[in-house]
Amino acid sequence: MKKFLRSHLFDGIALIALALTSVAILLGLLFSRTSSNHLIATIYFKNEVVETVDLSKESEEERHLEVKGAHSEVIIAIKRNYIGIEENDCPSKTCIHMSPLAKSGVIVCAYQMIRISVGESFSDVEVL
Amino acid sequence: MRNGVKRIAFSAVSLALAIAISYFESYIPMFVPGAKPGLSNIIILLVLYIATWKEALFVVLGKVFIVSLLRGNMFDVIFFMSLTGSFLSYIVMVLSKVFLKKLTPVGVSLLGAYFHTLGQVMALSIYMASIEMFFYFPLLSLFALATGVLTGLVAQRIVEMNIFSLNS
Repeated sequence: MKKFLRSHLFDGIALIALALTSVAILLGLLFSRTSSNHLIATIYFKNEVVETVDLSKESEEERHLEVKGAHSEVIIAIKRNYIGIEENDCPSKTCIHMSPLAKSGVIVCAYQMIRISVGESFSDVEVL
Repeated sequence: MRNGVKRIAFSAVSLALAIAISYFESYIPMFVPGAKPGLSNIIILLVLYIATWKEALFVVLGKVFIVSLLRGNMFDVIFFMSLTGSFLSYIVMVLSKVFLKKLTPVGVSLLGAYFHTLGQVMALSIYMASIEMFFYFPLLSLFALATGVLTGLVAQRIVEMNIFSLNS
């Protein structure tokens, strides 16, 4: 065991340095996330704004928005302070697993070229 | 058998293995969205340590192009993410193997895995024209470090077994 640790000392240093970098970025992002009562979601397709939704003004009842993606339609579920991708026929379904957002953040589907950005205000969304 | 023929055969078999592993690992369910175990990096590390950087480059680029062809996503965003991640990872692994002599294949592997994620996120950021893509980098990179250590340990074990020799 001692021999193993000694032979991997520099690997360990590299591992700790990289892990700390990631943890620092993660903590920075987590502390910068907001969950205020005024969340704005902006839906982009190919970097162009398709729709902007004030999530704080949505009703408690879920509604669905169909957005044209690069390959097919993407169905987005929206309700008060909540947005997420409900249906997407991309192979990986990564965006569905990333969903939903109830705080500031971003959902991306690279396959469909769709991005949903959530911020506290309209200016936040633009700045992010 | 001539050394050159051996190298070509070794590169071709390595490429075939890397393609097979890369293709089938996408069916392994992951608890981190968008993450993959990166098992084909074992093959790239082996080629880097047993052969040279040239054979490793052949395997890296060959894997990216052929897997994209098989998945039907040639020249779309997924292809460019894969290409950028793989190439950045390859450059970092070659440089760390040459200049950071105290690193074992485990250290080289985890650096490669980390920069693979960074490359993919960078490509996606450029493609989507938004820095927001870096939102996923910390979680994906921590996952990449864990898988990088595992693939590095496997590669190191195989290199130490000394079952492949291109110089005899």
